[in-house]
Amino acid sequence: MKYPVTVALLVSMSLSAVAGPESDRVAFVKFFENRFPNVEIEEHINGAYALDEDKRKQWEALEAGFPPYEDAVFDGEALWEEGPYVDCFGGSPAVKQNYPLWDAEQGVVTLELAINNCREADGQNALDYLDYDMVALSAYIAFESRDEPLNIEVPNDQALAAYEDGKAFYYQRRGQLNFACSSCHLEMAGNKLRSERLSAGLGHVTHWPSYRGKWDEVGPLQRRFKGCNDQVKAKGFELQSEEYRNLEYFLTYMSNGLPLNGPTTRK
Amino acid sequence: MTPKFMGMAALSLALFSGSVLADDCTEASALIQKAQDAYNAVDARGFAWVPTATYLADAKAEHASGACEQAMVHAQRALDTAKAAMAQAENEATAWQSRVLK
Repeated sequence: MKYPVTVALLVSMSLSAVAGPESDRVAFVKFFENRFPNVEIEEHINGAYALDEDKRKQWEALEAGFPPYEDAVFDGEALWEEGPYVDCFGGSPAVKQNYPLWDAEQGVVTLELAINNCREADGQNALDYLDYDMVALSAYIAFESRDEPLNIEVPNDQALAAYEDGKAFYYQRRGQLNFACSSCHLEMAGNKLRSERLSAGLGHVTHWPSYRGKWDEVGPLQRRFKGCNDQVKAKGFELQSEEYRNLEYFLTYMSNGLPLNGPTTRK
Repeated sequence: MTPKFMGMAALSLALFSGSVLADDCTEASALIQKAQDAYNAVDARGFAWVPTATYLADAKAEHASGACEQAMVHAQRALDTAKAAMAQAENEATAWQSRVLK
């Protein structure tokens, strides 16, 4: 080979671009390992309940009885069986571990966007992202995907740009209160904000959609993004906007390898 | 004091007070527009604050009802918060990188 050093350099540059998300994820996991040495990494899929014994007991009691998301799962199953979804998703509803995924035309495709893509391809109208049918379908898919490890890919430079955009969003301070996602769920994770224990950013994406007591219904992850933006007095974005899809892409990649455990209940 | 003089005085007073009110509202209009432009600019960068929109809405409603002084107060608050949000956007264009875990 005539120019071995140049070739090696080019290969290493290209590898470093692809390796970016993985080194971010390793650093993310390492941070929480050091921050909570007595908490198994997989436990973070349980959010604040991994860090607060008393609240965990209350939550487990709720989950053991008749969890309030059950109806959504049953209704979602009926919708799945009567709709075009079997064909769109390759026959099985256990697919949530692969979302969000990258698409050259649409950019980051979340599960909810894929559901609407499927409906539109079948000649049906797209559902609002807070519509009960949308939430029920995604609850059923999440339920069927339980225990599957997240397997998010960043396959090319365009996908990497979307990932980096989501990463910037995660670390950027916003709103009149000047908070970033990372302010609460990384720097202050484990501390209390009033009476609430701040959960770790790791595992944040594994259990959606969730029934939240505050909402008194099951809702999607991006509704929670918007709620966080509202709390710091930042103008939020539309659900499934490019900003929130890229944020979800980054945040889900950070939890790669963790098992799914949705839907669930949260305060 | 003749009726003609009283009529002239009343007319002058009406014209004077009308022009003062018109001036106040013109100023409020200009300030609302300035605040709106500042809000649009920071919104385009994805860093708009909720209070700015609230202040703007209040200022517009007060302006429409003729409460021009109060409209000025809220338009100024909208402008101030929009400027602060823009400063945040400019700072966060690079500051976030120092927070990324390594």
